[in-house]
Amino acid sequence: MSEAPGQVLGRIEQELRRYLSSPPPPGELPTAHASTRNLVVIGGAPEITSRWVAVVDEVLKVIPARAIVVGLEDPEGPDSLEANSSAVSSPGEGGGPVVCSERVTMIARGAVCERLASCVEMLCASDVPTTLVWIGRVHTDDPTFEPLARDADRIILDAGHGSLASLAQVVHWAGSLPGSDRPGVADLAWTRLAPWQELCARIFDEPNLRELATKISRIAITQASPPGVALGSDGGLMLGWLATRLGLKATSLAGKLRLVRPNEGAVRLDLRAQPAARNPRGALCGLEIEARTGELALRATITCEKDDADKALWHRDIESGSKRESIEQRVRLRSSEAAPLLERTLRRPRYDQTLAESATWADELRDEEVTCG
Amino acid sequence: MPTSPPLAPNPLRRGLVEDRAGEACAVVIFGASGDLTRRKLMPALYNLAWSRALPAGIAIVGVARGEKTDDSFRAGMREAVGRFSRRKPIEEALWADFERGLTYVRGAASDPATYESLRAHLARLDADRGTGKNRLFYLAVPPSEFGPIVEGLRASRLVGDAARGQDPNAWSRVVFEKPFGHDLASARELNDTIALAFNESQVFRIDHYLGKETVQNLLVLRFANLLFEPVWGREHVDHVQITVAEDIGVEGRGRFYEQTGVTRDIVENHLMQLLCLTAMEPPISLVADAVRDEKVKVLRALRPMELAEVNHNVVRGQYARGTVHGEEVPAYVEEPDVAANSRVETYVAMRCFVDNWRWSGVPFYVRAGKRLARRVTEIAIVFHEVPRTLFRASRLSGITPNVLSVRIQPDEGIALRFISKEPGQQTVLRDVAMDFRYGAAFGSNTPEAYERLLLDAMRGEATLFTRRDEVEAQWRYIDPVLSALGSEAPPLTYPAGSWGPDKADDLLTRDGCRWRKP
Repeated sequence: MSEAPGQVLGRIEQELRRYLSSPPPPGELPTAHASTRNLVVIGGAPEITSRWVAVVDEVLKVIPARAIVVGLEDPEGPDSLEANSSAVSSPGEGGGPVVCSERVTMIARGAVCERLASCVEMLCASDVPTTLVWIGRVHTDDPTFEPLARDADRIILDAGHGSLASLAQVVHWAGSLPGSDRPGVADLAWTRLAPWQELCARIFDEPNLRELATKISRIAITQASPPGVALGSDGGLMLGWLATRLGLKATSLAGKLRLVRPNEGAVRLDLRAQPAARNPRGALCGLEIEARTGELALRATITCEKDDADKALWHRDIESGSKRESIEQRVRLRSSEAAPLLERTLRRPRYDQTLAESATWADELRDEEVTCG
Repeated sequence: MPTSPPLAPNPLRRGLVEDRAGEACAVVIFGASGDLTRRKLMPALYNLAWSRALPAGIAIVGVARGEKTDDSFRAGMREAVGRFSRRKPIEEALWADFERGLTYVRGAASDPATYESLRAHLARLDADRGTGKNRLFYLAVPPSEFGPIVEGLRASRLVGDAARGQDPNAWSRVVFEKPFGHDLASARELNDTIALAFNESQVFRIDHYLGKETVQNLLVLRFANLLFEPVWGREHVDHVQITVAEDIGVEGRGRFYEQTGVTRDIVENHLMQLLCLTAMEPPISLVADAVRDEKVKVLRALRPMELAEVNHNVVRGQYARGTVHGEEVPAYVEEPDVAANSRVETYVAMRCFVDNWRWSGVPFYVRAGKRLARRVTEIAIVFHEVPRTLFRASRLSGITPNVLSVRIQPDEGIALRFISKEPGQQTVLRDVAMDFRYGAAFGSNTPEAYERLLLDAMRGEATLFTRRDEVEAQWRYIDPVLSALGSEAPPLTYPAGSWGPDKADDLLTRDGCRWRKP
């Protein structure tokens, strides 16, 4: 006979206490170690959950936390809760003390899915912030999501696996809460784009090129997909970021999306598809920007290498009259692996207004025809 | 005189969370064959490249006397990075891109031809690498070469208006390694020489302790937490202990040490900086000068020591033979390049007072030494004892004051020691520690101090560098101590592997305190 959810949670709670109650070695000062956070990961289907257990264990090696990884299964079926706990240890830096974290893995079924927040709350470490990582699509009125999200200091989504609409909805929902209760919203796809954004910004860093940022005449985005596929979340967020930083407005001409600069100049937008076996579908694999003012013309590209999606070539040409200057740099994007991506997301500031603005802008393109050719 | 309109910010930098890269520039390292370049600077630059913090328009130029080609220089640096980088192994593709920016110019600091070659070389790099006439000169050389290099740069017009050409935004900056002078007079003289070629805003004097995460966190601990600031002063703090202890000896640097000693090598710079960050008032902002203004106020408030007081407040020592980590080690005077009758101190302990409202009457005990029991740098704030205890006298022996210790190295972190009840029927009191470790909380691969400092210099951010008046105020305080020590008896010896001369304990015991064993 399976255990009742209350019994399961009681057992896990005891196990967690045992992990923390080992006495100090003889002659050493007893220490109370600081916990840094609760990390609650809701993975949806069990296969996604098991994939995320490995990711979470990697992250716990560098960010000690109490992790609770939950799979949701058959919410209409009979109620049950399965759970187990493990201590996740990693050697300390330079032979220092071992760093210990705890990870609880749960599978909730039936009505327990709806009551998940109360199960999670019972197992969370007190007095430390809670980060909710929700993999997949989400609706803010989902009875599993909403109470967990209200208890969290920060919500992490992945628009790449969910949708831009989910992200925009959560951003809007979080923004509607009073300041003191407002969770921060982050997104793994957004973190994946951070190196792209920095590389894009450095195109215009030199003082004599800054004005060109307001004179962009063409933007081309290439995503990894077959032709005819709609612009994915990565491309949408990148476009949203560029548009909100540069004050571009989305309009249409003959039913096609076009962008207009604040000074009324039009920005040509090319959306391209590049089937690439090494890139996940929908991932950004190229960006091209052109700008001109007077005699000064700029063309810059950031292109993923075909055989290694993590390597990119940053290239910039500047023409001024008869003078031409080219410069390029190879960089590692380091954004393809899930664990470092989650770690970097956890280290970002809690509130990110730029993400909120970019996601909202990109979501408004939902009804436009934005397919990559 | 017409002024140019303020430069518009890059709109794509607005709200960007990703770390900003340094500005396009040529980093010119004088002393490119030296240990500092191999162990610290080149690994730091490689790690900046790894984390995408170097701009596309970057060139790194090594300058030294040795006969080398670009290729042999690159090979030497590759070996050094492979050995000393915190990230191993070297990523081949990244290194291939990085080394394209590495070049070498042969020349001596005192030879005008060096600077002519350098000028032509930098002009080529501006065209080939997009370095935009921006120059970061890094003087990884002995202090005796600071003056000739600054003069060489000035005379050859590698700095100043002529270097900028037609580009008003081009910049030149210079980074100096410690020691910055050997007393107040020499520091002033050096500052005057530098001022002939550079404005103060172009000068970056490195104290690499300021690049350490825990040192930066000291400001965050103090000024981002309401908890500590109300108790951070004479009403609650009994005394402060600052320890910079090394377990190593002079490690082949006997000649250098014979001219410096621990007071000039550690106390005048690192230790004074730690004291300033501990004692300073909240700055009005984190702008470089706001922080440095507050540090200078602390230095000015340090109670000067008259010659007669030095003997009472300062203990100096020199390590004798002893055992460190289970191995027998020689005495200082037996080290290579050290005089057999050397009077140079390898240990110093001082009792200082910051004569301002906040710290009036609170002793700051500071100590630094080589060949001590272990390598540790920490700041310990020792609080007053409770005014009255509710607990039975027989159990009182367990009560010790609360201590907040900030560990700078190793195991960077913060610990708070307080009293707790032992579980049981009786009230038995015991020390416990609440222990926060950087490595555990934030992962182990934190940037090296030199990465942060090099990047800051490339960006023109000077908060973590020392200003002219700061350096001079440090020397002004230390100079009388050095003068007095020079006329005193030889330093006391202490066995290598101990915590210094016994007499250093007297500094504290006569105040009813004792050194921590960190």
